[in-house]
Amino acid sequence: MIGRLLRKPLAVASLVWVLALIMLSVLAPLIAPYSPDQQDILHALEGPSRAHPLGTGVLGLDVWSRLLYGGRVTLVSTAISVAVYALVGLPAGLLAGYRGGLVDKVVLRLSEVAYAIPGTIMVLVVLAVRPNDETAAMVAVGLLAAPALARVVRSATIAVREELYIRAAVLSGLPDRLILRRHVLPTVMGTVIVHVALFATTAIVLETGLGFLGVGTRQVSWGELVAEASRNLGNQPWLLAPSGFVIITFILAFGLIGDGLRDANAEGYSVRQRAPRPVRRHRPPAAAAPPNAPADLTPNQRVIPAADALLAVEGLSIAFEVSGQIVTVVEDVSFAVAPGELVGIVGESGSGKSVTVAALLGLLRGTGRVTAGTMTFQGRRFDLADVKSLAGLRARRIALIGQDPMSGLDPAFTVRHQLAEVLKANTGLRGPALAERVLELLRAVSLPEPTAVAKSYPHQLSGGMAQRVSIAAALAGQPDLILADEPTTALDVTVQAEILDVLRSLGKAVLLVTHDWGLLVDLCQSGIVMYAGQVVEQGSVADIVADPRHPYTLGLLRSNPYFAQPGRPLPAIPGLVLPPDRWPAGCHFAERCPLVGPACLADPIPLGPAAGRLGWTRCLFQSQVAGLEEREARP
Amino acid sequence: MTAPLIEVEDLAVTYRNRGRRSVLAVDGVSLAVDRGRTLGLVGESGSGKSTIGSVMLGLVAPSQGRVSLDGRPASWRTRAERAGLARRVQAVFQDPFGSMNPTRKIGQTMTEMLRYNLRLSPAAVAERVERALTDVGMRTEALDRYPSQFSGGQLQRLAIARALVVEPDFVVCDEAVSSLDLSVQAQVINLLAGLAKARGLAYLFISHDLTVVTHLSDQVAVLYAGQVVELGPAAAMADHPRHPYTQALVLAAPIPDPAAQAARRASRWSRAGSGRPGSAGIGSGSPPATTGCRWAPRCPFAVEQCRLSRPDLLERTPGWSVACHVTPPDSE
Repeated sequence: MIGRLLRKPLAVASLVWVLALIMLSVLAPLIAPYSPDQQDILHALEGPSRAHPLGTGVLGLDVWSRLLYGGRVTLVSTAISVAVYALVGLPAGLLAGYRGGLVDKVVLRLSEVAYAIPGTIMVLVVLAVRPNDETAAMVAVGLLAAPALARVVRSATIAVREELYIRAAVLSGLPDRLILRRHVLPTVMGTVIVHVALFATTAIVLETGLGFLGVGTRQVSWGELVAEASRNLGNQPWLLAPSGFVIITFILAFGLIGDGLRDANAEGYSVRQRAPRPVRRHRPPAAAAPPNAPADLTPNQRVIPAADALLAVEGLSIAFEVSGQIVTVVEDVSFAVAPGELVGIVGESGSGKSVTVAALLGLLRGTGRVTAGTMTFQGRRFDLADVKSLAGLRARRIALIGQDPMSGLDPAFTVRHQLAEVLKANTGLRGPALAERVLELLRAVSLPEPTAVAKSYPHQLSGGMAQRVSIAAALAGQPDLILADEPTTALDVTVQAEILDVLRSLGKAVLLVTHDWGLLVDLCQSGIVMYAGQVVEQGSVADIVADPRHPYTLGLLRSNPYFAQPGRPLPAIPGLVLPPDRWPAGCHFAERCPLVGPACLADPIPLGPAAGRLGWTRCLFQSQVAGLEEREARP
Repeated sequence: MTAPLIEVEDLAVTYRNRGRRSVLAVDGVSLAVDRGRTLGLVGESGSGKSTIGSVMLGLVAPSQGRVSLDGRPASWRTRAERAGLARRVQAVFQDPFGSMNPTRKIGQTMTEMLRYNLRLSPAAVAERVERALTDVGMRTEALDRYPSQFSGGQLQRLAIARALVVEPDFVVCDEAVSSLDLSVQAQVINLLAGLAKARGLAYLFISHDLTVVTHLSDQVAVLYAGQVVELGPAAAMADHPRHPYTQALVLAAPIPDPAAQAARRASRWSRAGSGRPGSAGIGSGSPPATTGCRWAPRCPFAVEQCRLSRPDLLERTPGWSVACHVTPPDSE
């Protein structure tokens, strides 16, 4: 952690400054040219000179020497109150948050009492009882502020307590103090560091304040120097400069060290320390060989003349900027959807299936952008890189249903209100006609009691009902195409079946994104299999499942336990998907493929027609895929 | 006859919602897992399956019933008892990213149980950790890294290794493969199955996915609203479920075989009584009943008796019990 801190120039400069001030204060008796009370009446209240490098105060006291000696008092006082603050606040917060119950209640009540006490007055009371005992005053400051730290640490601890790794540690039979030290403390440390640094600056201001008021210690301190300067501001303005500068820079430096420590602490475990690798330059997507499609075939399996397609996507490529480098995550994706057709894109995470769908609506997040690709929708051609031109399609012509039904609904309004909003924006409906249309939409998604649901707020709905309402909202604009991105992943299986029934019954074209073969088979006619940013196979769902022509399709299908032979391991695909910045020039699946040959590695593999049936595959050895399965079936 | 490895009897768990009524999450459940065997626990959200796992791990105190290990009552009251049970009962959770402390190196997390609970020598710790890592197919270089440097599948392997280092007899897998991609999920399923064989482990395998549970388990218990509705041999039950709820679960789970799936769909629709696609069908909106059979409000075969009295879990054929007043027709 120290090493990482030392790589932050601001933090290092601050650290050097603070350490220098501390060293100078410690060594004051050795360094200071004069003692703090040595007078030089002849040169009182003068600016910097050879004899007095920072000038002199009243009675000709040397400012430089007094600054050095004053640091001892101020810094020790500050350290005392910071120590009290941290040593009381941190354990109290950890215990209250982790144990809960009675400990928590006691800490909370005590902290409320401490909040109710006016801090400054309390400190003055302490000083009234023990005049000029600054140590007692600073301890009081630390004690009074500690409950604030305890509350912050308590909240952070409660959040951590629910983590699975704490559960796992409890299951390991570790004692509580070890769990707190090894698992809770490192996680809440960032918060603690920031608060301690902030408090240290407050404490130093308070200590100088006490000196300024003259109620602090009788020894010289930075605060007393400020007080002296303010009394003589008219005679010698310079006097404020040295003490003011030291106090301000010290506070600033402390804040910066706190920030640096917090970042260094977090970077230790959160930075992905994967070895830097030369990023392979991808061939420009435009250079990809387009499949040699017979003129009368769309890229999909179906024999739909392109003009008849509701949606035709051609050559879609998407890139993200990751730490300064452009990384392609979707390469040259083409497919078509006929009116009323149910099409599914199946793939694992990182395949690019969700970004592909987001790009159709101009909804790429973060640094994502379309680098190439067009879309023809209802005969109109759109450049997918031109996000603005797609805005008019959203909701009206193309609707999107997401994974989490609740996130699409505003918790503050009733279902009726939200559906009516969408209808008002997209149709001219008003009054009773509008109310009737809301109920009609709710009936269309097979909600059993549409009137009751219309009056409900989202939190009153079950997950399945909320997803039906989201579908109803998607239908409000009377779209011709519904994009459904994992619409049932958050739902129970019996509810999922009913949502699929709803999607099936709408009579609209649906483009479903899913990781589940069962869903694809249940709902869709055509399927698109994606792997590592590319379409690897396209065709009718029945063909793809019964006669896969890409080794990945076969591998993914056989990973499904449904096909498992009892008592035998699943024929799992070995290895992992490569991250986008490491995709090879040749076949993206080559590393994990049992059929790989030298031809697969050199050049990009084009999407070619499947032999002997409709459909497309991105494999040079499609005829051998079936044999692969037989090979596996044999013991 | 020897006692089962771990057993819960007549278990009930009540959660008290602040300000609201208390919720009965588990209601009269008795289950047993034998040495080296896998019991699957399947059900939808709110069925109480994770709560049962938590009780077996000592993380949740039951309001009624008891847990016994090797026929002796298990207790997590004192620290010595907890430490002792931790050596025999371990867990693998759903979220691989949450189950490893992000601020600590994998090695620090993996070894702490051996160092602080078993108090092994550094050499013995290293040996155990290496063996566990080899078993899950990871290299020892992993020990020096932080969780953020691994993929979900790799982290889940490491979480399994962490559970294995103490060489437990029994592991609760709570949705342990649910958040993984299909191809990675297959790898981890194979890993879990292989480990059970090689180390003679017993699992409680909790999942919402009937297909995965069936593949990994010897026996499966189906839960609905905190009660076991069916308990039987895994493969046979998946093919011919006997309880109407199990049948509904099987029919609703889509399968990647077009002809079989079409048949399932038709069967599901005919049960819904409408035959119309998109209908609310068996009424997903109906909450479980509070008296009688919990499933009755959504059951196409419910009769008067189902609403009046709770059906007991009775053994219909050896090793296969069903809690149902009627005998519904086979679903396929």
